Amino acid sequence: MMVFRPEAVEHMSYGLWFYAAHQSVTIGYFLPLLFLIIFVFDLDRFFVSLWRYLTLLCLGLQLSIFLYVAHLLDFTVQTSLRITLNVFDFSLFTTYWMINLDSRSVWFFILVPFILFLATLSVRPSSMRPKQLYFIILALDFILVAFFTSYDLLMFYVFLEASILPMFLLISIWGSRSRRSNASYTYFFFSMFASVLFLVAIIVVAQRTGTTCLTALYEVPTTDNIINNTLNIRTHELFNAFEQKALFVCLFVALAIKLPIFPAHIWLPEVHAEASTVGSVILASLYLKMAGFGMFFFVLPFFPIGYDSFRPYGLVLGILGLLYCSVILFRQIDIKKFIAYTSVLHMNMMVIAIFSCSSTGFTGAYFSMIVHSFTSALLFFVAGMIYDRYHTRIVFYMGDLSSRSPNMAMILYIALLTNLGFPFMGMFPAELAMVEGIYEGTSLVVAILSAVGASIAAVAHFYFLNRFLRGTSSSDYKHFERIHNLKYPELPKVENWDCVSSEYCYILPLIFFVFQTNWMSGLYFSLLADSMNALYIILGGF
Amino acid sequence: MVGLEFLYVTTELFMCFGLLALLLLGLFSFAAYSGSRTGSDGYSLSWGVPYFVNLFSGLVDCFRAFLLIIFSLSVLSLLLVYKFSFSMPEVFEVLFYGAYDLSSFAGFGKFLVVLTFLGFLIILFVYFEGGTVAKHSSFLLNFEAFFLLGIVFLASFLIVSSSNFMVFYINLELQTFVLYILVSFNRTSPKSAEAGIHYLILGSLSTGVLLFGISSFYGVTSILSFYESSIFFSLIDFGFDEFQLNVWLAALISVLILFFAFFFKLSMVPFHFWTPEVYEGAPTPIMMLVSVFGKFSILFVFIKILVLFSFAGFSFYPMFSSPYEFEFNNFFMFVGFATLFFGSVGGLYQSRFKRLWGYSAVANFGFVALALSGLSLSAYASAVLYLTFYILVNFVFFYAYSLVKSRVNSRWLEPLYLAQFSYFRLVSVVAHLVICLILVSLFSLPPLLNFLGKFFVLYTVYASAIPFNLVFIGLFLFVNLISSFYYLRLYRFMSVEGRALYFYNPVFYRTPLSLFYIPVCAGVFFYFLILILSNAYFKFLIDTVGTLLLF
Repeated sequence: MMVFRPEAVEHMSYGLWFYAAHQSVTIGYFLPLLFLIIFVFDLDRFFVSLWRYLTLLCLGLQLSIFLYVAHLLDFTVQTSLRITLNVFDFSLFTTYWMINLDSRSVWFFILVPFILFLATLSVRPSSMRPKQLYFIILALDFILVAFFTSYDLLMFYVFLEASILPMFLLISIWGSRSRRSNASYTYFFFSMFASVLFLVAIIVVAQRTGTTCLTALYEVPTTDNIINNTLNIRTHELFNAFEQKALFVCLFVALAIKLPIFPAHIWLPEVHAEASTVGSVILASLYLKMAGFGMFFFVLPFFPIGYDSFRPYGLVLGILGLLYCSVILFRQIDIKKFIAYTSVLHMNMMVIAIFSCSSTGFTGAYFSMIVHSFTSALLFFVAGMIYDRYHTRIVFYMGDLSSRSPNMAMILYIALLTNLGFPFMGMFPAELAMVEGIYEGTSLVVAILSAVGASIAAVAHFYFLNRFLRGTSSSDYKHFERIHNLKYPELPKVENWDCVSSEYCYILPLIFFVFQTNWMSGLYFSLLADSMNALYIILGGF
Repeated sequence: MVGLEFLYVTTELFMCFGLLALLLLGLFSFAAYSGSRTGSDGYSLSWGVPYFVNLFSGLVDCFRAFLLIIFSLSVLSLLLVYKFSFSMPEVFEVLFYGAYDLSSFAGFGKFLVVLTFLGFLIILFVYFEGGTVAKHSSFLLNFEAFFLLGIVFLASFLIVSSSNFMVFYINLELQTFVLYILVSFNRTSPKSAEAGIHYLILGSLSTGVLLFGISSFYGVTSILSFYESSIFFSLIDFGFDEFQLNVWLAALISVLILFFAFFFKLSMVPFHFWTPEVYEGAPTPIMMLVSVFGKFSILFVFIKILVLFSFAGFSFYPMFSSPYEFEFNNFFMFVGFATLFFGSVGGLYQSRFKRLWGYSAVANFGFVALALSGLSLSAYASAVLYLTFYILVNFVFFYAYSLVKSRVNSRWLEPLYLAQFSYFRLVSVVAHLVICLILVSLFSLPPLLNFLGKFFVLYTVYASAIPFNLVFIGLFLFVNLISSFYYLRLYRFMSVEGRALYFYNPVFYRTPLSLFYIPVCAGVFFYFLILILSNAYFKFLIDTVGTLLLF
């Protein structure tokens, strides 16, 4: 069995003036900051859509650079590119700013500019404060890329917390209802609370081991030709059983609140209901994945004894969340809350797979994160399009969607099908791998429960779809108006009820990727297999 | 050298005599121009000119001269302090038979006093620039303002370099009396007078407590000097001797009582009630003065006492441990937690900005108390570090605030309520962004300064030998979240809410681009500079606090 010991670790360290060949990574990394400097000046009067095109340019450049880098590096052989930035001998505590690219982080490295590009495309000219919105998108670009390529506890923490404030602004400025202030505070304090728990763990680990850098905590660089078959995690030696359990719980709960796991999932539906399209898309496809990414990088590998002890509780939480959310889907009347609960559902399934100690489960969980980014982005974009037409998110109004806008109905159909794990779409291999891993690592009961949860969710998706596309709207209106003794307002006058070409620009790539992740799931699995296998070995699975 | 000791105190002597001279000058020159002082004719700010100006063809303005003197003196002090303190850290001397302390720690304190005073002067001149007497700008029309500020400067110097309880008490009183006066300086405002009286009465009570502690400590040990007390604590050895135990207990209790006076000055919990009241009534730059000068010179002495009493000499029973199970190690931690809790929770209901700032000061000093509870040099260094960050954050905030005031000028209305901050963006985008940066830094968002300060404090406290320190660290971080709510609320008013047109549209009354952007930009530059150099600064502080052990 191969162990995830990067044989080709290219370490680079250079100052502001680069001379190395992989400077493209650094250029792409700092590109958003360079573009943000242009935002300082008041250039609006010269060209109205300047900021939009600047953002698109930046994100496009970044995406192309990152794709080029991902093409250059051969991730089939376990390479890892590490670049250390020494800017004026900068050190925050004992940290050096390190960019890390390996077969796990490269997916999100590419995903971030891609999703943000699509989100920028979805911003309409009539939206308020466009300059600030594009500023936030570029700032988030930097923060998220820095997050997914961080290889140090403190840097991870810095960018995790730094991402809270832009989302706070996205919800509170561009949300639609007055309840958005409640939602933004809820999000802020849930996330900060979680981060604080993480900080406690960081302080303890940093004190005990004397460093926060993962190269010291995680791997031991080999000195000679002897192949080291066991991974030496120093945390093993330095923390006794009780401390490992306590710190694992600390780290897990911190990221679980952001994931979000069942008892602490309240903030997600509320935030999704109140945020605008851009906010929802970024939250669902990138923020939730930050927490999952953190799980794989920090929570799981550090404290195997803690993992072992916490497994039953984690499984219970995941199953509870899965079953609860799958059942509550039947009672949702708000589109975005529905999609939010499906997000919670998928994340909980991911948690069950994480706590099933099996490499298939881990791979399935990681892959489902990637796929879920695409599917939730697609769903929220469609929900945004629907909201633009109907100016409401309540499902009762949308029974005539298939007659008014058939193309949008078809896209919604595809999106909901992929969300439930329909074959030929990306979510299917993910769920398959997860359930198989769950069965492999835990008992039949847990596997059946998770499959049952997924099935109930699938039924709820079809029920929802039915109400959307096949509901008879006028009779529903009359029925509810009669029962509740009120008069529903008229539908707004919209030029085109169906999708416009500008909207296809950000929908079609996502539909492509929804299918591509299924066709090329072998690619994802093969690149992730070795690292997830190594994780499995660390956790004592064999 | 015994005879030439006064050379080390040239700064203080110069200040002393200079202030007295300027007091006389001011009295005699303003007598002839009392008409323009009341400002009932609405003249804009103008400097009083002495009656003998004709002798110098109208070129002499003694108060501009005073300013020049203050500035040059500050620079001179910087050089002197550097020369006599930093370059010879191993020199320890107590001058004038134990009244003046010449250690590197005191030198560093004086250095910080000078820098802080210079920064404060910038705020003063920007804030009170322009405007009429009727609109809060009469502060600088009076020569008393300069005299009193000079005394605050002098007193801070003397406090930081006091090595004796009696000398410390005298200098502290010098500073506090002047602060009482400055708080109530705004004669037209009843709130200002109320704040002054509030501060006076509660401050006098705390001075009484201080004297009680000092006198009982003197009664127990007949020692007034800090360094000799350190020897006292190091020579105590309980063994089989109950008498020494009783002496130690009595000394400890008297020291704790005198610490309550420190808690008052540093607005820690059971004695923090004066803070919001005084901050509300005082004019804004004076509020800053109280929050900065009133606190950090006292913190320096506090750290000096803690270091010397706890572990300067080699003692079996340092001050905060005992042969019984009951230990005082958690004392500061508990006080710090209570301070943070009441500062955070108390600020939640406030709708007025200055009271909020008062509660924010209380909450910040909770962390300082936590840092003081770590019984190690690095913990005390992290306390000074946190304080430096707090001062810098305060300064940058008020630079931006006073920039807005100076640009709006004669139509400035003090933002009493939080929602009134939303129009800052119309006046100056730079000031708006800087204030947003400071607020974001205040709710301890990494990697900004306040987070870094808290991280250092918590890191050093975790390393200390206090039981349940991890629980306290977690509690501190969670209660800190409560305080982040009111910063977030102010941030929301500034950046999220619509641009309130407040009484007028200040855009049309904006003065042309002013030089007052320079302190704002310089402040932000120093903010990030200190952020990057925080590691080096922390190590420097550990060395500086360590020089106290060298005696």
